[in-house]
Amino acid sequence: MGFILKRVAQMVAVILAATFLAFAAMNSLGDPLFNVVGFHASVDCDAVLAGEIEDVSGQGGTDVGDCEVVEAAREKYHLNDPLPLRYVRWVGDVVQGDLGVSFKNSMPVTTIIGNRIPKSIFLMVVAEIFALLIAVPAAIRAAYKANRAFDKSATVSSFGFISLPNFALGVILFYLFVVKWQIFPSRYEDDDFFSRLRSTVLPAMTLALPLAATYFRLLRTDLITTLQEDFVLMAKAKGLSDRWIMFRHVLRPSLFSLVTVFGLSTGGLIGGALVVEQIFVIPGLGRTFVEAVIRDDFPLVLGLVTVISSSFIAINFIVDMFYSVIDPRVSRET
Amino acid sequence: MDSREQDLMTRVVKNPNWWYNDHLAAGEVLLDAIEFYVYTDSELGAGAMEAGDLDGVSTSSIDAAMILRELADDGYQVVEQDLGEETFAMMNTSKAPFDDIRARKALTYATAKADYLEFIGQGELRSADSWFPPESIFHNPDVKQEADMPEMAAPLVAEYCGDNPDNCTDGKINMEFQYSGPSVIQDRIFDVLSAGYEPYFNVTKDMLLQDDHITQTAIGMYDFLTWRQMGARNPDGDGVWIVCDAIGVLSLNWPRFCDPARDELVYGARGNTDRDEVVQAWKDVAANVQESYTYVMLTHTLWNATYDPKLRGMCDFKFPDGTEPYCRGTGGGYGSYSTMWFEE
Repeated sequence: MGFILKRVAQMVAVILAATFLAFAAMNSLGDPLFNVVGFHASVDCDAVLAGEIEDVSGQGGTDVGDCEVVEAAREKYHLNDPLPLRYVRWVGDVVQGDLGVSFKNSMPVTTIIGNRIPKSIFLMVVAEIFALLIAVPAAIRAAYKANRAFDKSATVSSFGFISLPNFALGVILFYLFVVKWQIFPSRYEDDDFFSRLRSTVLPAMTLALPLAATYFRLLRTDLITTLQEDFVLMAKAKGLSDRWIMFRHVLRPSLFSLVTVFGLSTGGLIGGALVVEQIFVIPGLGRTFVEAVIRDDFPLVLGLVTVISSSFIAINFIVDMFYSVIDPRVSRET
Repeated sequence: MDSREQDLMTRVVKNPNWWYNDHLAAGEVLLDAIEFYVYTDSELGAGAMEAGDLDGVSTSSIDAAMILRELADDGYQVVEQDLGEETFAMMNTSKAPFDDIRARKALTYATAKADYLEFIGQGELRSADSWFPPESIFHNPDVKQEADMPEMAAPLVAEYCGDNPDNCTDGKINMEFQYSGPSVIQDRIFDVLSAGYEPYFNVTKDMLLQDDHITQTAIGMYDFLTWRQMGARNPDGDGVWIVCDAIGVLSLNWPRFCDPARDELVYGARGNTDRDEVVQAWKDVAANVQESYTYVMLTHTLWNATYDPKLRGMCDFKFPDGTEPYCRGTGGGYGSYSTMWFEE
């Protein structure tokens, strides 16, 4: 329990650090006021107050002067407050489930993220399932038949998939499976589970193949190392079958590297599948994130940073927990 | 509008109370619904057309057009035209540095138009000299777009920087090049044009999302950008982009350049019933626009519209004399979504 509490405290600290950095960066690199009030922000209100220039009323179809609009926005979004105070206020709102309102379209950030995140998570889950389904059997076979034809061809293929950027792989798969053979649809379909699954296969494969190649390389190496351990020799001497030895005694202790990388890559896929989302026109988090950054849409960027960093940390926390399942000798207290 | 998912699809349905209904020869809107899908990559959109996922596609991407052209062999209706829209660069004359004609002239002369035609147009786009293609009765053959004359930019820049040292750094004029993105083609355009400007201008990149790009342009918060517009068959429709009345907080006269003499030509043509005089007025407008050095005309925009072999009512009209009207691409033409139908 102490270990879990300690990890939860670490998670909270990391999320706070990540969001504070994002908060500070967004405020330092752009002008939040311009994103709220648009061209009204270009008016020099200090000069208006000093009587040096005249405030222009009614611009942009409003009945109020530019400086009134600017002041109202400053008040509403607390832009007159110092940065740390604004951050603390924002954290307070987040704790109550309020991620703010997008500067761009005035929609609640939770609504925007809520619309997008299911598609990104579905894509991530399907991609990881494909990656594991490809990598684990291939690595087991390659480890058993190390340096034989299958191992060599799988190794060469894995280097190919690791080297191939996913925008190129995505376009190749699109051409073959959509244009040439017309097996999968060219766009994301959200009618029901099966249409969602069908239209997610290609983007998921685009993400899965390089991942599978990485998983394959790690697991194959660890399996070969484990197969050379004395306890495997002992098991063979006792006459246990290869299948039993592999699945009962070898696979589990060989999973450490795979599980670690699995955690890191899964976290990275939440909001990080931008290119694949662009190619296959999936309205997920990655695309929203890039647009929010380009627009300086602070509340949306911060909401996304919070969700993505929380997911990343939560997944890696689960992975940490999983280590002791893989090998009971690993104590949670260490 | 029936439903919309941002960045994915918008579905529109038949509206029985549509005001334009009575004016259509067909007398009704023929399809119950149309779905518009977003393809952020034009070539993949062309691939989706090839795969049969779409009934129609419209694009100004040369790469996508090349894919779509091949579908003509399979019976698809592939229509291309470059008569309806122009691609050009423009400068904001309401602020420095392009409030000074010397800076505008220098930039015009330094424009690497030949490189633009080669690398962006890929030999497929026709060079433009004015808003009117040579086929237009309003085309003024005396108007030639100046570009690729960097040697003429140097003395103008030196003179400008001598008078306006605050707007220059290291003897070059400071300017911001705004464009919409993220977009591979827009990045390419930036690279090609900036390469020509670099010896005389310190070019700062300002990439914005497209809606912000348009807003910034309308409110005059830009120095220089590329744009696509004009080319209306009746040029009076394009008058709104150039007259003085269109300049305000939100301006449709994007370069914010006011010339009362030009207004006189535009409004004079509007009230004139003498065809020859109207034609001459617009030829004079083209010359006037060129002399203002606010636009650098680049190409006549090539639009490709490709439709399913069974789709009717877009490009298959014929006049009683058997001739075919100008098919809808952009900037005019006959055929619209309301006249579309499918052959069984």
